[in-house]
Amino acid sequence: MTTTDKYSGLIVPLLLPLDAGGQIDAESLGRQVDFLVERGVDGLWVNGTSGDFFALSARERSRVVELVAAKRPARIPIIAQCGDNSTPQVIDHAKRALDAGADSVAAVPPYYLEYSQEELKLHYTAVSEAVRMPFFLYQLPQMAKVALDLSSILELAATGVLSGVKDSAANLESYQRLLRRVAETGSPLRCFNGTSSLLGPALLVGGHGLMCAIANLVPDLCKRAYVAAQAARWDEVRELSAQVSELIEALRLPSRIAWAATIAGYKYVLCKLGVIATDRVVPPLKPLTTEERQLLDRKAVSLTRELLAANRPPVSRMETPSM
Amino acid sequence: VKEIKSVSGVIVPMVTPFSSPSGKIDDRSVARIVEHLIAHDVSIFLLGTTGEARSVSKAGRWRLVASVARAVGRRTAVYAGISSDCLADSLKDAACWADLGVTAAVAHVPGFYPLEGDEILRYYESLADALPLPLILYNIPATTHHSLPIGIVDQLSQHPNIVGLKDSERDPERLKKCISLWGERSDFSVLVGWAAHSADAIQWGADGIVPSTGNILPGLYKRLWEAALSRDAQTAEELQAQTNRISDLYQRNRSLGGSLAALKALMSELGLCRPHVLPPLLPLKAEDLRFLREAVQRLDLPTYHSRAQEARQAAPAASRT
Repeated sequence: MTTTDKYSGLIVPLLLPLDAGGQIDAESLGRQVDFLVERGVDGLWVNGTSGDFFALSARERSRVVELVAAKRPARIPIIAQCGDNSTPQVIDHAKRALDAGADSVAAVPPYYLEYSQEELKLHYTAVSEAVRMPFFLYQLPQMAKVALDLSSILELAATGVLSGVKDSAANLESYQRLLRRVAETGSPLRCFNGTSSLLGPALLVGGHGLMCAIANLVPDLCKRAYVAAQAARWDEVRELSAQVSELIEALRLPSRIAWAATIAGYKYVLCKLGVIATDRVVPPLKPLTTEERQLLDRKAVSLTRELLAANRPPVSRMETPSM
Repeated sequence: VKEIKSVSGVIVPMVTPFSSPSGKIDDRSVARIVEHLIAHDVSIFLLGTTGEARSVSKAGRWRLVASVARAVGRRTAVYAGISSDCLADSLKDAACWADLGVTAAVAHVPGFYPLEGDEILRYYESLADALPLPLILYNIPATTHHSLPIGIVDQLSQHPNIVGLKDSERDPERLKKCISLWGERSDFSVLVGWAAHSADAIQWGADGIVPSTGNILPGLYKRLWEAALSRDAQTAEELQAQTNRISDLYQRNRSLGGSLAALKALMSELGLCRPHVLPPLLPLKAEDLRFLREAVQRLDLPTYHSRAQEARQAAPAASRT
């Protein structure tokens, strides 16, 4: 009944492909969109953490949305993440994103100062009133250091400010509590889990789908896991979740402390698969070393290829015209 | 006797005055605050944490620095922040600040995800290599969640375009270590962003202090600076205690963001600017405002420009149009 029903299944937080000069690589971005759409994803999350949103200027952010919007079929919704440090800045990003072709917007809490729940609620309310489009909360307390608490989320869902949540807090307990309270209160909130390593457990506890970054590499596998969970084929979900766990381990770079280094690994694998042109990362993140590339070659690249081959969607879906 | 370096003394981290809650820069308040600061012979630091830098739009930042540059007319040093998670935005700001006559740029690290030491090193090197202005490093773990490693700062201090460190990490041992390493260096300044320990820091050998309460009491900090520098410890401590009482008024029991709203409310009571802060920061609640008003009267703080005067000034201007 609501306009947010189309937000379900596998919504992929896109990476930001860069060219050799470190600029946004439109062609690689286009190939990345094709790669995902051909493999049955249900939506695209643009300018998230995997997409280095924090390092982009306002114009660059809307340009990424524009490029993705031009490439995706109309049935695949775009959620543009618009987080920034003040309410006027978020509203500015959100308006630009909608002008650039996004179907809805999202925002991580402001992350420079710490704000009270009252301040955060007013922030989300003001953005929602300014854009009047479906609006998702992006919970990522590991990075933002600030998060909305459960009662704030439910209140904002009840007043129509929030349409959904991407929960990337890597906390199954709080995700399950969110889903339980959403069900108890009959809230229309669309809930997605954004933690790749919790793929199977997150599907087991429920929600409307996945928004995990590992889907950049193995979209068909993630989609299959979602479909299997809908049909309660839990053995299959468990097996696919174990495969994701193996891939995450293969991508681990032992000398790095930053989670952000994962982005470099994803880019390298997609580069080896021919989807994007370079594995360049946004500074100050260090580029991969030769040893790190060799490490990824030994396991992650071949494992990704295997998982892609093993989880190809049925031919009928491949024949669906993408335009 | 300690050498006085070019980047030194009392450097007030100025609030960014807005004429409305939407964040329009209030040129009239800018001019008033600038005169107030220059009258006490202090320098100005724009777009730090006290200046709500990360909340101000690009247009707002440019307008503020232009407005301050116009009001200052090169009568004192103006330092301005370029901190951003977006390197291109930092470089654009710095190019603009250079055109406007800013003395040096100030930058903290991007803080969205944890950085390793060599990433911090490379970040600052690439910034300093590209900047048309000297660079001051800004260590503020309370907001960036990074403490700049002292060894990395030491390496960066050798860069010809890096001229100092503003350290707002509230750790006396770290501060002493910084001063022992760079206090005698003529080409690198240690600036202390910990107002409550200004007198200590100067006596330990810091080159400058960056107290937010200087927005209200620049003259007291100037006297504190001079007393501490001339080894008049008793006067310096007395002045430190006086300024601490005012800092307490807006900082005690408040978050960093909450204290910014309270500082502006206090400055508004004193006639220096309007109380607007950028959302999501909320303005001060009515009961807190009442407390501040009483304190302003009790402490007999100097006011600068009464609302009545402002209304009188505004009225004829309106009648002329």
